[in-house]
Amino acid sequence: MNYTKLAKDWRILMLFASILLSVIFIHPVYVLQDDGTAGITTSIRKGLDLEGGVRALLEPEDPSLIQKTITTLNIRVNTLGLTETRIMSVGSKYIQVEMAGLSEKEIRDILEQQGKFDAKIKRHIETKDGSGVLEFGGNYDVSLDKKTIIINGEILDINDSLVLEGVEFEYTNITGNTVELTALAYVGEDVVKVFTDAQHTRVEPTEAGYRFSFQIMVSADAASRFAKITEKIPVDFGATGGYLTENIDLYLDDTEVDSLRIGSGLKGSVESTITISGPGDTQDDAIEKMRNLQAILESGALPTKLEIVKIDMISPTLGESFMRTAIFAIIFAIVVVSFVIFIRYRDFRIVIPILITSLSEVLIILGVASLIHWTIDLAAIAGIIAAVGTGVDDQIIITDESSRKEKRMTSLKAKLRNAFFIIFTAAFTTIAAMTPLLFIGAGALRGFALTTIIGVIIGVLITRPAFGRVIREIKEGV
Amino acid sequence: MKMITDYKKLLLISLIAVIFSVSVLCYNYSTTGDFLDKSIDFKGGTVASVAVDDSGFDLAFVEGIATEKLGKVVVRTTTGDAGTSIVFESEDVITQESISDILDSAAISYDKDDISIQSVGAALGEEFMRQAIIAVVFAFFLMGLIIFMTFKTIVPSIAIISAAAVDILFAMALMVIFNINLSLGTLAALLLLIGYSVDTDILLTTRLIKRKSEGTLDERVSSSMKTGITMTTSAIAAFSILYLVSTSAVLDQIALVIIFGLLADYITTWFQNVGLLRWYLRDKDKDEEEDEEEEEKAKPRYMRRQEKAKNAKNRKRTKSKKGKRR
Repeated sequence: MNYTKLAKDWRILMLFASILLSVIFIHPVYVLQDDGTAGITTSIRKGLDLEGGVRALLEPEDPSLIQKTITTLNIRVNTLGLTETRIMSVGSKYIQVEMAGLSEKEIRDILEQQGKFDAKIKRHIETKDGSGVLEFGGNYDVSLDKKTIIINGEILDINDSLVLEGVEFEYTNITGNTVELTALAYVGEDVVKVFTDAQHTRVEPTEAGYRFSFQIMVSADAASRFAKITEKIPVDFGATGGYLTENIDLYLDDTEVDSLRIGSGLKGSVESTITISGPGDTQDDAIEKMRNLQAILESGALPTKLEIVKIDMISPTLGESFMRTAIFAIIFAIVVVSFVIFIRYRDFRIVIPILITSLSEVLIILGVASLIHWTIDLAAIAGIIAAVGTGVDDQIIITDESSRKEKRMTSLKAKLRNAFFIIFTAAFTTIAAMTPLLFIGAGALRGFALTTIIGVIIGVLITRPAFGRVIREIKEGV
Repeated sequence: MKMITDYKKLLLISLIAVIFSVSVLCYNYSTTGDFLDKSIDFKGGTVASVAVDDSGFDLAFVEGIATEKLGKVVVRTTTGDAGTSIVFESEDVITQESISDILDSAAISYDKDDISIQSVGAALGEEFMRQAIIAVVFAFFLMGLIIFMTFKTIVPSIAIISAAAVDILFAMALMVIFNINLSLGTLAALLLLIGYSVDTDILLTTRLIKRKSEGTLDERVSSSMKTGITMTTSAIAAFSILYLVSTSAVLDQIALVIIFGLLADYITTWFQNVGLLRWYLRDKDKDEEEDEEEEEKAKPRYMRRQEKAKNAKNRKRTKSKKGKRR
């Protein structure tokens, strides 16, 4: 066998170049990990199946708002400090979120919460003989007729609202002769800045558990709105200090989350910095609630409601065990296959090239995956094994076709061309069969389909032609 | 091993395989309403599994608590790399909290971080099922197109396409028997079978149809079998290793489905496809033989005598050559 002639062949050179490039892209580095053990890290991105984490598929109520929703989710996730998160759209109908290290409940809280934030202050108006006064701004007469009220010339039934001097009031309740109007002090869009640093946040123990508090800055409009609403609310001087008789109620997605007392000092003042606080059962609970609320206020409400339609939660220990066995499976499979080949041909000169070709196919597929930043998950590993399987089949075809005795004087080159005709046709069919998988199942099988297709293409263009050249050298060199 | 050369016998054997597969699938349809049992990927629902610290617990007790808290739920155990796991299956959503709740109530210790949950909404599952059917139809259509464009003849092309179809049918039948349900992973495996099945069939068809000069039909069939059986056996070996070594149920199922299909490939390629091609070529060979005889008759007598003498000489030469080689 003429090794130098072989080494100069363009197919062999291309194979070596691909192997070299793949190793460079995979970038294996020998590192000393924190626990003292030595390990190898690569730049191959491991999918959720191998690392553990949560993958959620979300269906937005309004698909046209997908991009905006993704932007909002990204802000939310960043505010929470989650760096290992991937959010992307799948097709035109779904959003896929992958997060490592969070529980399923936490994911649902972050993703399914639309995040509509409102802060409201109630005003109670005592009516006598059907009339009372709303002490707000220029003061307004309120007439009550059964359950209907008339204020500022407008007739309101329960749940109707009107706007007075730029503030929205909703007629929310009536008990006996007392009319309850709820003024909208802040909405999510009024929040200009959310403070997350230690100076502006606090978590303290209370008698009933813990309480978190953090400061936010609201717009000038919102600040003056608050001033107007609170200007004429009476103060209640109690043992703990002076507070207004009405609280400010915080709502998240129309559910009340907390009700805060308003200090007398804030009465009628245009305050742009306000403190938001809430309860927690434990310190961790309080911190978690605070972070979620901060994230929601920072990102704003989701443009459209999201529904989790598919969720996969893989535990990290399970993921790690998959990884180990997958690597082992690939190597062991190649070894066993070589054994089968040996039984058939009984010639090491054939078995060794097949072994090397298959291993280099795996390497180059991983190299391409590193290059295009493709994540390797369980499906991708199955795809690699599938591609290697077709690789072995093709190499058997090449070996057999090249050793066929024929009545016509066909050159070895021609026989190899025949072999590749079969190989190319089969390769096209495999690619055709895998292509639909790229588009269905909300991308769940994209990893499998892509690695198989990439593997087949690499095989047909690089590794198997090189193998054919080696076989030619073996046969002709004899 | 003596090769069966009668195409009728070959086709009969493959027909038995087809009837077997179709009956299994129809039986499943009549008892469950589906040809293949669907996993949550296609019918919606939740599967949650938790690794528990020891296997000494009463499953029925756990199931009782689970039913109380979750409604209709199936509870079973599996053992794997991580030890024993309890698996909960329900048509609705199961959250991590409810799992913790159930296990705490049953006083079973488990690793809180070692819970795996897969949940698919019912509407999504139905959509996936529709997409799956379209994917299979599309794959077959593309495959058929490629095969037709390659061979340009009807019978051989149909032989290859039907071989792939029967491989998939047989794999599906074995899936029913071995209780493997149709998931996104096993769907991918079935589609992959198209590629593997076609590999051996194209090899066979190319050798039989396009390389007529390479020996008798029987010789070509037997040499193709040697190559093809090596191919299928090494693929089965590779996926068997995957099945034995992997700890992931998903990879296990994919491996098994491909192995099932490859086992079927032995029959569909070397009985069904060979049978169809023998039938197809037998007619063509007959035509060729008749053509040759006609040609011979048309030649003048002196030419025929010359050719006879030449052939006799050649035979003597090859005979002695064979002797020397040995």
